[in-house]
Amino acid sequence: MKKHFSYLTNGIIKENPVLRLVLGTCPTLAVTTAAVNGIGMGVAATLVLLGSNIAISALRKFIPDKVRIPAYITIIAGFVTIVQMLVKAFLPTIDASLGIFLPLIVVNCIILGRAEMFASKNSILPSVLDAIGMGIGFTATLTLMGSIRELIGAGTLFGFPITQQFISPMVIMLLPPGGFFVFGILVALSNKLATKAGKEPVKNLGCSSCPMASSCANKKEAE
Amino acid sequence: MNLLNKIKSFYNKYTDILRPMFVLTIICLVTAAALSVTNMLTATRIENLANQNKNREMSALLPAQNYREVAVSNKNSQLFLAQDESNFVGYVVTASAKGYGGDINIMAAINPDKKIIGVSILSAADETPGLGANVTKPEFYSQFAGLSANITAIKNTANPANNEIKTVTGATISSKAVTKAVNQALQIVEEYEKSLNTEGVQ
Repeated sequence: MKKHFSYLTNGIIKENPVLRLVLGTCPTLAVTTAAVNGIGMGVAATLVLLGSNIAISALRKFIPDKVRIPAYITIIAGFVTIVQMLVKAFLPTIDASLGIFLPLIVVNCIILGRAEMFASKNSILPSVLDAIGMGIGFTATLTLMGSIRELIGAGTLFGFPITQQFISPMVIMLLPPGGFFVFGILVALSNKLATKAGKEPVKNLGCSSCPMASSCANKKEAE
Repeated sequence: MNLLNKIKSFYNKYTDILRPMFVLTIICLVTAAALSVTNMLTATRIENLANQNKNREMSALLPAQNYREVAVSNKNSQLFLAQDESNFVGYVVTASAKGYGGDINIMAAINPDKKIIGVSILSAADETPGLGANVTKPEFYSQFAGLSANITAIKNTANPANNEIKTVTGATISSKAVTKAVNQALQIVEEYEKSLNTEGVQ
């Protein structure tokens, strides 16, 4: 029971996908221009992650090791596309708010990363818990990043004016440089907190830290 | 039986190569089948919803009793004549232009004097959320109302001149794409009126 609980909580802080595992950086930088986008992307990614973790974990004994990456990609891309079509056809209101995030999830490496690192090695229940935990961690981090960028860049929070009246908004925070800036500061902060708690900071962001490294032909050993 | 045994021994010999091949083929077939079934089940529904959406946008932009579609040379556009009783009230045109991530589709209502009554963004799904996607906000597209022909999008302008609009901050490409589509819509109306004049029909 305690072990199951840790599967759930791991993704939230200890193995936060964005700040500790440094996965899903591309959507993180792209969509966090507003707090509400963070929630949208987070919720959509969590639902897809849940589905793909279940599918991969159920098929883990059937998929041969040699072709697991193409198999995962096929399953995940198929799953996302089916979800996208169903949402478009039957839930148009959700499509209006989350629709733009779904195509971005196909290229979200958290999904592939968790398939490779967790779902392919564990049974269904832990995989479900892992997906929920990772999803919460992803959503929380994206919302935090979105809030910071929106507050400084536009002077609003969730669309409501906060500092707009007395501080002129710094638009650069909404542009790509602002994304890298906030992301860098958050990773540095989480490293600082991790070292304080006696954990290893995220140091090696080279090729070999990638979850796909073991099967990658272009892998360069980290110096 | 001999043949079956041969196949069996062949499979056992090369199982390392054959099994992954079979499994991957099966996965791809199953995924493809699931995708086509879902597409069959949803395609008409999605299209109907898009049409409903278009009709709703159309009557919001330019309320009229009926809209009659007329043929235009541009394949990606539709032109409707809006009529109340027997009075012609204006044109509704759809147009598209390439934005930052993909096509942006717009709808413009244009009055008989070829001035824009209003513009709405039908889809800008591939624009970056929070930047390019801001062109779907009324603050941006309401700028088009009252303008006519050759509209240009200007960065950081405090007071746009006659046929100018102000781009969305950090989204110049998306703003220009919308402007291009609006100009295209105006041109379609222009061409349609020209064709009427040469044919001599009203």
